[in-house]
Amino acid sequence: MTADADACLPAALSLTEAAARLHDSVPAHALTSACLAQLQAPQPAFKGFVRIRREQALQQAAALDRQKRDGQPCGLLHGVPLAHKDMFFQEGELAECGSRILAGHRADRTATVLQRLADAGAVNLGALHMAEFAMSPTGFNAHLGHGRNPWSPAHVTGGSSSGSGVAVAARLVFGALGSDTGGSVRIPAAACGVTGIKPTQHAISTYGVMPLSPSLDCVGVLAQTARDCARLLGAVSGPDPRDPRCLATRQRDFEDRLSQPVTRADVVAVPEFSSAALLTQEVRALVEQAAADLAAAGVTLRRVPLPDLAQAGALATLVLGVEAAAIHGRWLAERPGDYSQQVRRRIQRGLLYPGTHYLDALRLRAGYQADFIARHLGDARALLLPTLPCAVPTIEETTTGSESEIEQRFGHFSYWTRGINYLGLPALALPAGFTSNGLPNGIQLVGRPFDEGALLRLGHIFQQHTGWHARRPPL
Amino acid sequence: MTRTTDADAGSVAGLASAGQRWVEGFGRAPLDPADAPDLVESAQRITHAVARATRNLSWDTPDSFDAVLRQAEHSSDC
Repeated sequence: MTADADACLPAALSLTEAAARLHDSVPAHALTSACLAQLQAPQPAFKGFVRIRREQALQQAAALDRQKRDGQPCGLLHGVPLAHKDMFFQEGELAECGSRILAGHRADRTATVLQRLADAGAVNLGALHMAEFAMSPTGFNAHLGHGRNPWSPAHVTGGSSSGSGVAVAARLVFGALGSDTGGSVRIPAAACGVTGIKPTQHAISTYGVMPLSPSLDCVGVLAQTARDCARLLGAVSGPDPRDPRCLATRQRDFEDRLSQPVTRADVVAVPEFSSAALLTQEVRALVEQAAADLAAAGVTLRRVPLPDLAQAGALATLVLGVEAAAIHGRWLAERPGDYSQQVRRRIQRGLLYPGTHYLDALRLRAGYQADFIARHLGDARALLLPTLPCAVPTIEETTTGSESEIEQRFGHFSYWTRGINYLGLPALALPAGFTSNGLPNGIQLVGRPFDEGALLRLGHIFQQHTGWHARRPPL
Repeated sequence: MTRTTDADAGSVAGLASAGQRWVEGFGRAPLDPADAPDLVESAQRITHAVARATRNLSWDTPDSFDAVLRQAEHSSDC
């Protein structure tokens, strides 16, 4: 480990800052070695990893250094150590999806998003903890053990991309891929105090990614800053003939407009939160403060009616239930005992929904989205919403009671995120402060389809005026 | 629907049983009898919410979601 590499660790630099150093002077192998050493050093907190690709990562980094010495151009992520939720397939390597069902499963293909990150020069350090089959908003996993929040091991990490939130928050990696079917990128981002984006539905290829509900699944990214997320999202964007649902026709650059000055067109819609809103007082205060911070940065605020996300959430729950039940049908029949009870119940519920309602939910979707945009966005570039309805709970608070009670709590926990997946809209989760229990909490900016660039720019503006994204847990 | 009162306990049991028969009768894995009442109740609640949301759909409303997104992607300037 060199002093130069130590000065480039995620605890010291953001992804884009480290990428600049790697481009100029720091060898990829040195930084990868330094990051791997962090993973091996004894630490009290759970690190979020389920497997470390030590040899592969070092070989990858050494190859990048050779390419650079040979004068080949460096990618935008040249030498940047990342790690990813254990549901992105790398041909020939394990991908167990947080499950017992897929224990020992070796992928027969490589996910397009992993290949694109590698093509951009990123180094893959390993696979990260996740909820079983991406089915829990808290990070609960009966097989692997609970995710542990780096800010407090007694508290949940949020899920289902639990390890992605942990590894970025603990500054073990510069960024991570996650997936978001009902909030699984945004919830751990909020609970762990990092930035995360769920892009527009079908904007990013899902080829080689474990499916949960193809109508709702989105590949997303988590990192320290909005700029870091812009770099990662741009790297994985682009058309993919191997994913028939992917709608992208070109690679996109989300960084080019990040630093443009604030103008009158930068309008953010802020709901009138009534006392009936599913939101604690302290989280509401945090959201209102975030609105004030945006206004202080020059953004125009526009008050809009509070969206009722209960209905959109029900539509999402039915679509997810039916699709997950279809995907898991054979395993449910042949290996029901290999699911945790919680996950098996949630998947089995999908067997009960009438097919007519599933098709109606899909037929309603385009019109529902248009109505939502007209009513709650109007002329605004983004709608400001909470990410979580309450302070991050303890593990005990989310695991006590009957299965039915736990499921209801899960429903509340993803209230502000789940419906956004039904709407198919992009949403950026940003750290925005701390609640009285000392845990981070956050906001989300919801935008129009394929307007991720506007969200990332607004997020960047927010982060230039607040320091929440720079706070890190006392590990 | 509430399944905690004595008065409707029978109907919940009946519904749970019907739910189990529905799942098995149409070729899927059986529900655990211990889970069936909860699952049927919550599935019914969700289904009713979806029915309310979709009640004004016209018979000829297509699923145009992907087409709308495709149009948005083409017109996006990023």
